[in-house]
Amino acid sequence: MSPKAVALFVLFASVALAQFGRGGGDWMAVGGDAQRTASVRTDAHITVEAVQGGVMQSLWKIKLNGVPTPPVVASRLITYKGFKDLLYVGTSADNVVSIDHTVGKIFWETHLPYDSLLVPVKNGTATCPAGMTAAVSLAAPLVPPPPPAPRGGRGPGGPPGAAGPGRGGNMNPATVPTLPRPRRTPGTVYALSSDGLIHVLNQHTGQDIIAAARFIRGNAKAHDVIQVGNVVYAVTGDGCGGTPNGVWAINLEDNGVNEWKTSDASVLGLAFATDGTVFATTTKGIAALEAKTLKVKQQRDGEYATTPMVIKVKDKEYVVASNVHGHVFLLDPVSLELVVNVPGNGASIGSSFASWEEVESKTRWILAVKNSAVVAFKVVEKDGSIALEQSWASKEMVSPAPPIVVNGVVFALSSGSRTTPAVLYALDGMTGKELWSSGKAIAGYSTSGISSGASKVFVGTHDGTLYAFGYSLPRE
Amino acid sequence: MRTSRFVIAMALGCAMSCAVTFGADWPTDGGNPQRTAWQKDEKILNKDNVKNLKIVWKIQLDNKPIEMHSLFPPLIVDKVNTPSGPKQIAIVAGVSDNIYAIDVATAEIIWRKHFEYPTPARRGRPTDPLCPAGLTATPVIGPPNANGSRTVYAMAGDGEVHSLNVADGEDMASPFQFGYPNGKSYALNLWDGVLFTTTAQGCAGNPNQMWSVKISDPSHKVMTYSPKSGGLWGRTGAAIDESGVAWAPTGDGRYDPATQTYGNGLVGAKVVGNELKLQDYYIPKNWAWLQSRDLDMQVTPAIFKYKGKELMIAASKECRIYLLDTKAAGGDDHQTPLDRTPLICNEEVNFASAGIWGSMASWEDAQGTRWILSPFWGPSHPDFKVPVSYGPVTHGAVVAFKLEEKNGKYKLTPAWMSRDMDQAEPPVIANGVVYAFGSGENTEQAYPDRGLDDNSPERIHDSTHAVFYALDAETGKELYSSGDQIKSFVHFGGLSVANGRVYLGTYDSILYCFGLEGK
Repeated sequence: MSPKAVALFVLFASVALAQFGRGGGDWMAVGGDAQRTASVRTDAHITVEAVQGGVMQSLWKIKLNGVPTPPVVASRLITYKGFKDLLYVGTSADNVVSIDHTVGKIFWETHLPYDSLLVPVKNGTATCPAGMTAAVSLAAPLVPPPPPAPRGGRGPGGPPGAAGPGRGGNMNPATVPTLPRPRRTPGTVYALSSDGLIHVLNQHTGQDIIAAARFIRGNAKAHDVIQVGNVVYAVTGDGCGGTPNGVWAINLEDNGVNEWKTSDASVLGLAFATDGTVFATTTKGIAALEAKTLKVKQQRDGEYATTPMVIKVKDKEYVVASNVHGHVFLLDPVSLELVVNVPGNGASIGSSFASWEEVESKTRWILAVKNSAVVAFKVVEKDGSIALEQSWASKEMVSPAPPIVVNGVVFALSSGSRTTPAVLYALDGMTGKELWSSGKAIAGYSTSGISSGASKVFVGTHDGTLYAFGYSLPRE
Repeated sequence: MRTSRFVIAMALGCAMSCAVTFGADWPTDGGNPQRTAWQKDEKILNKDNVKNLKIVWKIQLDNKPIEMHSLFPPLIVDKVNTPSGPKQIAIVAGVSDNIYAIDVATAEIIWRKHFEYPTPARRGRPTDPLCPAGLTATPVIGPPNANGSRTVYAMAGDGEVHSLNVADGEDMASPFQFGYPNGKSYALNLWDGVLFTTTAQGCAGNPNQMWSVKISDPSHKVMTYSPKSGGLWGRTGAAIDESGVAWAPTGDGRYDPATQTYGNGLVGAKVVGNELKLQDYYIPKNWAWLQSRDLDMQVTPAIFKYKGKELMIAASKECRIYLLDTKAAGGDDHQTPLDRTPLICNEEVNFASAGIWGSMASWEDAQGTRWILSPFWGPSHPDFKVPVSYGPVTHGAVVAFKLEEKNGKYKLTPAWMSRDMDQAEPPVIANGVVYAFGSGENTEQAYPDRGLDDNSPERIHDSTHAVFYALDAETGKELYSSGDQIKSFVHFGGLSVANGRVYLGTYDSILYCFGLEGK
């Protein structure tokens, strides 16, 4: 097979694989999925009961070159070096690192060489940090796949099969989980380097499978990189490096770039409806954009403060966002009219949300950072329309990062400060009760938030250390 | 087609005229039903003279390779009464449904059988090395009957078992259906009148299970046992213990005792009445890890007596060896072996070109020390400590352990690790000498640019050639190497040894016979 044919094959395969995206608990991009729900719907080992029972362990930590962005996660890959469960993490040093997250070993590490006529920024600022700023992305499906079949209740994790019957005994072992199908062909990792090039990397090797393409101007503060439907999207903010603020889309078929510039309004983030509509919040409004072209379909003014999130309530989609006054909105995805407006009373809402649906009652939950705590809202019906009802709030934390949800367990990160190390908490998604904390396991403070996948939660800290907590198959 | 047209016998020295028979047989893959690969009756070759080994003959057979497979390990029967007098005969099966009977003294084909049958409706995917069509099970030779005749039982690619007279190839009985057409059965074994085989990889829709049939049963009822998960792909099929329990590894799969699902372990089944029934099983405690990384338990065990107990060794691609008691494999919970070695190789955790593959071997020296032998592929594990070794191992080696027992505790103690071999294959032992070979086979199944793409043409192209070695069984020291004399690689072939000769068939359908000049 010629190199070009192989590249095309891999690209095609990666798009095809995206259709099966999260069956194995994958985390495709920052915010987990195209809707930015920051959630893993089912997990074989992380449950409320299992976390209470001690399933969460400090698994490993790896020092990286540069400050890590939140990893993305793919598992059961058949590589030329064996079956691997890999995460991919970009760092401020323009490195992309692949780690076998089950064993905590680096699988490959790629440095993305700076290739721009612009002089690279060596020393960034808090507003405009230097180096690669955006997390890498995998190919994210637009429509989340159905959750895997039930896996035998909510019993604690632990070595499967460990409770087998003795000779002549008659114990009652739990049903053994089945593994997701392994992936036979390499998918792709999309990385936006500090020089503004988009790299399409082979998941198994870290090598560019096609030539890197010019996407945005170098030295920008880019984030929210995500590949959806063979188009990579990114946003830029704060005018860093002279890059206009806006939403950017590069079509990988022809490297054509479209943008929606937002002038002096920084773009806060993106989320996708299942019909492909792109929602972008800025410091001056929210817009619904056409996929690929980024043509404005609808927009609404407002001083937004969060990345949008798209949720589904009884088969209807809503856009969730918040403004600088702490209001939490549910908007109609077509008209962008307000459907729900929860007054904020001046509270500070964190930069993004999380959402999950409780399996039995079908209750939709929305999680946000409000001031210094994680708060949970329930979506309820009142007089024939929907409303948000605040249910619980966690204890106060130090600069809490946006939470994530794994199978009904909320993970919240007290990001810490220069004098206070970060602490990861697991909370009961229904009650907010603290189930577990990482205690003193994390040495530094975090600036990069958390992500999850394959029964693990990952936390990066300012000193370049990536921590993994959760459940790993015992090797011995 | 006249077979003589395809015979290119090469006589070296006086090998063709001086051969003497000594009465040792190699009637089944692995040498015996217990699959110890130990030739106890070797009297000619020893550690002092094997340095003089040479190719006493080689013969080009007209067998057409299929998906990397070609010749299976020869079976050797001595003192066979033929119309032209008693002969020592090598029975060699070829994947293209061929059986050859070769006079080992003259390297001439005595008879040849080609099984003809309508093309089965199903076969494995073309270019898939896992599922070749045709004959895939090494035949087995039964004990002498009342007339002293020996029968070779061979399963053709259509699943029919043919019972052929070793002396002349004539049918001793009508063929009967045993296996699944193009179902890739593994080496036949024979115990107390019952034939056994195993299947894996679901070739042509064939279920993965253990199969048995009573030869004397007029209806030839096929009795099967399925572990419900994993394929039983130990290279030499099942090994049989003194109770008639056939043990086979179950490969990648799930363990769920609630549903009698026994993947990634070792199952023992026995013919009870007219059924093949599970008797016992062993599942490593880390089976889920093995499954997640495709590190199957997939090695045919070797069974032997030790201090009055019958023990068994098994292994996996993870690259450990397990010591088990055939009367209680894995103890009370079926998951506790008598001993388990540390990782010998496969630090990379690779499913394709690393780990232990094939089958095990074991022998006992004159002092009563029980030795355990295992081949492995790929680099040795950096944490594996062995007192005697011969340079870095990067492609594979044979490793030897001594079995020790103290106060009822059993221990596999590393003794030696051989020189580097290019994909070391299962060894055989005879008279203090270990015979081993690096297959030279390309074993890659996945590639950086494509991921999983296991295909025969590419692997054949990238294979090199086998190298045959003789090692001192007590030290692992190399006593002989065939160097570049073997021209092709080996896939699913194997060594046989008897009466001063060691045999190996290669992909190009050449059978090599190593021996001593004048012996």
